[in-house]
Amino acid sequence: MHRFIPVLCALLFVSGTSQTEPKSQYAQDYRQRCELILDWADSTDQSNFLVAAARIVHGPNRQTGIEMFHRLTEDYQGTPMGMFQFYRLMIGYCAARPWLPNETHNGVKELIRSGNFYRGDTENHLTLYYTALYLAAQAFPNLPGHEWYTGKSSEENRWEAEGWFENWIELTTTIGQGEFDSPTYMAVFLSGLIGLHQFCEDPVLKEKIHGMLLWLIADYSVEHLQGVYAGAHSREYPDRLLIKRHPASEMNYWAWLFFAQTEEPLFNSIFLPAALSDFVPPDILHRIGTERDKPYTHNETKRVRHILRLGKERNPRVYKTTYMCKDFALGSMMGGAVLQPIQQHTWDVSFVGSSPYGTLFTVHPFVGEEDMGMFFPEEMKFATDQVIKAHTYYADPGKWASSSPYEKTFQHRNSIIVLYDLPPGVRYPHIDGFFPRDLEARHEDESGWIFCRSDQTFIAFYPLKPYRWIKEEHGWRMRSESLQNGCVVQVEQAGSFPSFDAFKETLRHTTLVHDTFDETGLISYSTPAGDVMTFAFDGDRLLNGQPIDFSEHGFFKGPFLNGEPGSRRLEIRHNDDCLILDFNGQGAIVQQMEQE
Amino acid sequence: MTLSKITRILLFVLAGCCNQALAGPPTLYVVTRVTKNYHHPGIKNPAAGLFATRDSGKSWEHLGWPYGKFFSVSAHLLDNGDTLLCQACGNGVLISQDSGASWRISTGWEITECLKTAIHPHDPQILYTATAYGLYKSIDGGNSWAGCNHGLISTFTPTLIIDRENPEHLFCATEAGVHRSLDAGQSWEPIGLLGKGIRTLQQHPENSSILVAGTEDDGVFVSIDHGKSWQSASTGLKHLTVYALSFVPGKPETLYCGTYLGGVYRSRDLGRSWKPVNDGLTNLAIHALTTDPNNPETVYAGTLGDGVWRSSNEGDTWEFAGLETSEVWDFHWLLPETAENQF
Repeated sequence: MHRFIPVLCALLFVSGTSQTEPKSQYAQDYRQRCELILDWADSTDQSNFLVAAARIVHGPNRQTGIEMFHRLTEDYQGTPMGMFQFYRLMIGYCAARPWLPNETHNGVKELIRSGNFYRGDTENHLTLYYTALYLAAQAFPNLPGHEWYTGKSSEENRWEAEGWFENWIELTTTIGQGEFDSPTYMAVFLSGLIGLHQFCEDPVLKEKIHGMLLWLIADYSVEHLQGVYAGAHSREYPDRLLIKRHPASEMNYWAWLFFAQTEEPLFNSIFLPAALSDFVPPDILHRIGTERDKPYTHNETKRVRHILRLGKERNPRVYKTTYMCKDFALGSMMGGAVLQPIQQHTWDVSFVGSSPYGTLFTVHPFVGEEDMGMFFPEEMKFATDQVIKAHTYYADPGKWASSSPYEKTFQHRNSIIVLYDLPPGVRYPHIDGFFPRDLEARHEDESGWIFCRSDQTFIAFYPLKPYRWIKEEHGWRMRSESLQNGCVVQVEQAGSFPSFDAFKETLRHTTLVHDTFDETGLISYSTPAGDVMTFAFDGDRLLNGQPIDFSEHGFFKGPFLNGEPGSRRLEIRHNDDCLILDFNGQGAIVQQMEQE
Repeated sequence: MTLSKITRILLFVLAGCCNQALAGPPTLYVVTRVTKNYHHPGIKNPAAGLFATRDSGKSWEHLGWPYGKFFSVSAHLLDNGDTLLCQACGNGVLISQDSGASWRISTGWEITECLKTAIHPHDPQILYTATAYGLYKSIDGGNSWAGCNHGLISTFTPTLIIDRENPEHLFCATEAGVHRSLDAGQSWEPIGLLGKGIRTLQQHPENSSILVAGTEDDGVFVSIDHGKSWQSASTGLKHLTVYALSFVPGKPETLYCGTYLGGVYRSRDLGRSWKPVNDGLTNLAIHALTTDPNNPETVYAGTLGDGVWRSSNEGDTWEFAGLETSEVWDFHWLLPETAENQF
């Protein structure tokens, strides 16, 4: 075991500052990528405060930026603005402020006096709203309440924003995020926090936000696989679940910016705060996000977002497991309850390769009042009907994103058992599996296994009940209509076997016992590595006869990230480097450690 | 000082000289949540939020924020002639002390998803809000708030009412039944309908011992002993999700209920039997109901998506009364004569 000692002034070493030119090759390359984003802003047709600010700061198109910024301040007068407009306005204003004429300053001031900024009701909404409110209070200090849309003074608004961030940091560093590991919304968190970190003038809050930025990027880096945010997600949109390398996926962009393993993405203004910022992630996170030579299992504990009703706990724990190697990732959360509304993604295999899809998973398309009632204050029946109207995919029997109380998983390393126990009368009495269309092989074997191959990944999928194939645009839908249902999935690197046939032969000789599944719900599977996984929907998860102890699951637990629940502390380790994020209020939050 | 505020002060002074002017028509406040078009922030949508009408819906005045998640409003006539308005919203409790001319978000980040507010009938410094996360009380007009949830089985509290006869006594609806406080919110005890999701609670305008509750799935319940015991009162109700209830002043046995997708029902015997009264009503998702305090024949129904509807014949027939495409979440009357005389 290495022993580490803290070194001084970690902040300066782990991120660039406004006065310090980044020195490492990674940092220089990162700044060059930021420069490409600013180049895009100079010529894009998009018009918003961030694009305007980027042009102003970048220079070549400064005058058009100044004009755009002023026009927007005029256009938005009298127009309700949500948190997304508000944070663009304030980050853009902070960045462009030195170049703006007085009339534009006055326009911004008038917006915060007479505007109507809706706070929103999700974690990402609140992050953006309070980022913007904080920066607005900082930009317009000492204003009385009647000069603010809130009716509160600048100081009161700043206190409120600080209070929210204190609470969010406490929750995130003790029991985890509620909107965790969402490819779409992680991008939103990062965008807001990078802007706040850049323009926050209070060194205390600035350091906290810096620590949280590193926390979130570290959280992402261990589940990053060649541009894909692997593993289970609290929220994601269906098209992006199927097309993992979606050209408009925000996290593909961040993957490019942070890890530089993928092609230049389609730019979007949500990423401009990074280009307007001096922030550079520390190289250790880049290495953790890209080095996959040695397979590893990473555990995390997250939380369910705030449950308002129909639950005994406000924030039940969510136990995640992700197995990572250079060719694929297998990730899951344990399930067994509605953990997130609408967009939950409980498990998948993500694999590297040329396919835009690169994924395989199953889902039960659950639709129920609980989905709305647990997480939203509106009337349950009405809210459900409204969501069905607004998001037609929600009630689609073929939807690919769904929470379901009737789905549970048991993952051990690169093996997973997924069980479904659908009650009679459930709205959609079937499960669906997604098999992308460009799999190199999808062979239904007499043994009952379906053997799949994609580039350097072999997948064996054992359906527990009869199924049929439905050919669709993006691949094959494997539909199975038994109420008690499930599958066993084994994923392997192609390089671990002499051939695909050898892989098949190995799986044919594994022991899979499900004779009594209909009566007992019990299944037992002996993995190729020799571990025995035993699982029943209403029973324990047994590994080699021993029940899984979730108290040992860890807040973060793996070769790169480690932290205990409630600790407010994350240890980030790669080879001989170690970075500590410590929010316990003693010393610096970000501490660089060196091997003694 | 704004022009509108000066105007109101002048009107108040004039009203003091001529009492008849002050005793004008009551104001009906209507809370609309969003329109059918849904509010996309950053786009100039038609306003939602708080509206007021003093002419039975012929004209509407929008007050305050035009966008957000609005749930309900309470109003109280202040001694200076202005109206105290407390709006329960997703952003917290919005308070105006000048009849809607200016607003302040009285709550901080901690208080969110506010569903209902209540103003002490004799002391407008004392305010309550019922939220998706529990109850909060302010004793300084909304400058500060403190949680008051001791004894609640569930903190999902859709509504709260102050006992008209004894303002120290409160009733609140929760996801797990009706609760009562006898000490102005310091402590609570469950008193009935345990396990039922309560959506609305109303106190009889003439007999304060009578309470009625509308539930998520179990219809209507009536208590005639201040909530100590409850009887099911759903005979004739074909739709048991009840979001709204309204008594009728001067007709102590008449009661309306608004259901989800079943429209409006009327009872002539205090809930012992119900009859649907939806002739002309095109949207049967009802979230708010109220009766004109000066004209008990006139009933207003707030629909989820098609604005306000009015019946001038006790619900027998309905006609559209304004706020097209709105989701109407709440009604609140303010009578101009006295602070107590609210309905």
